[in-house]
Amino acid sequence: MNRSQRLAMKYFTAAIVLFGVMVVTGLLTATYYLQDGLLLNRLDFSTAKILHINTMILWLLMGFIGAIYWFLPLELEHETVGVRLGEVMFWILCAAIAVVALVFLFVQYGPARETSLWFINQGRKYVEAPRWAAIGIVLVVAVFVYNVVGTVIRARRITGIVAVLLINLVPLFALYLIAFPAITNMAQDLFWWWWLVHLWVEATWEILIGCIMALALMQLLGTSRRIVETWLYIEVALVLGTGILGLGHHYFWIGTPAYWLAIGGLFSALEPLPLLGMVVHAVYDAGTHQMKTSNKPAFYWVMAEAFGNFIGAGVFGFMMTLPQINLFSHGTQWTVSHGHFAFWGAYACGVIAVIYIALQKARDADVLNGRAWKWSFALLNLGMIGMVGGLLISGMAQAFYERAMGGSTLDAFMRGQTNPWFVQGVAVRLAFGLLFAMGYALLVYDLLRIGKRREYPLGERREARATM
Amino acid sequence: MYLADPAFWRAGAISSTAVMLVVLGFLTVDSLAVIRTGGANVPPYTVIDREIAYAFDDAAGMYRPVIGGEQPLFGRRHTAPEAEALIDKGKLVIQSRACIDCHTFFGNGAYYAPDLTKAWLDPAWEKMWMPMTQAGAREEAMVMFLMEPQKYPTWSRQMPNLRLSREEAEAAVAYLKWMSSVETNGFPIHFGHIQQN
Amino acid sequence: MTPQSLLLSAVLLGAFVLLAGAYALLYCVGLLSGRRELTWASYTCYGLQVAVAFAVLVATPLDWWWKALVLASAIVYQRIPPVVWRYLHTLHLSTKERACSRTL
Repeated sequence: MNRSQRLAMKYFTAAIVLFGVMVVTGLLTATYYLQDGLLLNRLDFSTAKILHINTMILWLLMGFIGAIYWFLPLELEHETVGVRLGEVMFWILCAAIAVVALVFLFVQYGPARETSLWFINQGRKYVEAPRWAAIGIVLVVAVFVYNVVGTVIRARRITGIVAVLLINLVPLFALYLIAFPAITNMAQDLFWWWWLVHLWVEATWEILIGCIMALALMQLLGTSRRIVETWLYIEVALVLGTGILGLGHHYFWIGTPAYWLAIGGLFSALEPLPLLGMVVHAVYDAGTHQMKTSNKPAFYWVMAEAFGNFIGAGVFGFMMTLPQINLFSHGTQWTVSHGHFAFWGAYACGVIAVIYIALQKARDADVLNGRAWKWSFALLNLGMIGMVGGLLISGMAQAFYERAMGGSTLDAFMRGQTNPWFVQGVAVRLAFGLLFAMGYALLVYDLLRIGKRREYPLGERREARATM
Repeated sequence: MYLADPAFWRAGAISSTAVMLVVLGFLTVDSLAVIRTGGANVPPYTVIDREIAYAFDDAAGMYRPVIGGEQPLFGRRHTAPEAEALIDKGKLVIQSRACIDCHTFFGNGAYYAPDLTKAWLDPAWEKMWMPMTQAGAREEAMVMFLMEPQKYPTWSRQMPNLRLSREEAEAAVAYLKWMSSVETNGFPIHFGHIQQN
Repeated sequence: MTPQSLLLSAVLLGAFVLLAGAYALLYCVGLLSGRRELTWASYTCYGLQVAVAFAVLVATPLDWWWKALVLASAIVYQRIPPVVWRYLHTLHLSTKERACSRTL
């Protein structure tokens, strides 16, 4: 492993740790729905939720950054430039995350002054981290961009994939600046906030994971560069072709003009089409290799990515995206159901796959296989399906009773929340969340030990290879 | 075949992205004009001293805010700068207390607590909280609830006490009143009216 | 939009895309395995998808342009698996040819 890849392993480790924090805080957040008065005024729902959603964003980002540090030197045949500075920034980032989390937990909020936004909580969803930490994130990402650009320049080499990655880093970085302002007018605040959130997770992050998957497929299946590059360009064309104006599906109800109902609805309805293409591609790749690979877990997680993305983002999204439906589903557990499934399929599965790919090389293992990863794979995916299924029931109950029938008042909200279908749905969510947590624990166990050289009698080693 | 040539798809990716970004640019410029304070969909902050309602508009085919006559907030008239200062403060309250991590605003946020888009118009203030708090006006009941929610619970899921000062609570209430006047293309549908099946 | 038609419409729309996925999956696996029953199963899924599109047309209160979009996209969804599969196959073949011709 070169220095850049060792840094990648640090990022992957931090990512998995934050994934764990996300799981624990997720279980906690789920429990509030079933236990009135839980930790009231000590650790309220909002604090648990902030920790849950921020760790989600961070663990995925760290997974992406780790993946690039891993693949870049291989891709450009040159050690990553400025990797020492990258290492420093990694530790600064970890320290900042720890401080911010402790402040969220123990200080929680301050008076309605700018100083609270600078040091405690900015109070905008996903970007609650205080401004000082947001500046830190900007610096970390700036160094990361410098690492990538510097390596391209020093190596005097660029590939199609790296070119897409580089160009994509510009808007990815620039959009984060929207995390800073505190705009009084909520319509304007949300307008720009959605540029950050949507053009991250439904545009630039899609391109980023597309680049990472392209690099991963070359390693995992030996797919030719020409093929993954061609496919990457097709993906960019289709994903951005639908996703940029698909931003409009967040502009139905926030004070923006009514033409967004048509534009956002149309492009959003087209978003599943490229995802279906990705499913076909995944099956094609699986088939042409007859499911044979020396890294079974990575291969399965890549398949899970294609299918999870299609169902979580495509199917669940399409169900609720047309304005006439969305008017009722907007801002309910229905949204939560779609959000969890989409993030899982589009990003989490891909990051896990890349970690397994890196581990195979890091541990110099001929073959990665075993039992633990299969159990972890099953529990995590079944857990996720169960959670989003429960949330879908709750969300539909909410849309039905609170919105369609009840008139969306506090009274209607209460009736929706106490409706038996709703309560059963969130109970199912917690139960499957526990399964998911077990899957996570097994994932950690497997990542710690898979591929590590052990003393095998000769016959056993051959047997291990034959079961591949 | 050119379809197998990555350069063809690279050109496709660049042009498709460029076209969409240009369209987004034009729509953004237009939307920003509509959503600025005082724009077509967003009343100026001085609307806090007007009566605000929400009714079905036959011509538009949807529910729309209706701005009525004078209704000074907290019994006092606010000049434009005073109203702006109050609403600025209100937004700082909402951010400093991370209200959006329990509640939703225009349906965005967290789903543990009610949507606040039309909270100003909620019948519960008159029906439940004004009697509970003995307040003479809706906004007074809102302020008293926000300052001491534990004293005036209405169901088993309680709002935490976020240690709001009087000034902060008034600013938050003003913010909610202003927010209820924004044109949201009919969200939430038929607020306050229960559908008979 | 009544509460009931809200849920029905949403379920139909979700089923529409889900069946597209089932059609694509079975179609591709059918091609790989050469098993005709899988290919027929895939066409059945597509047939169901068309039926769902028709149900959206007649049984939901969606505006006519959304219904038109659903019907139009039903046609596009049918084309995606065979077109993408054929394209990937051609892409792999042409890449192999280039690699072979380079080594000659």
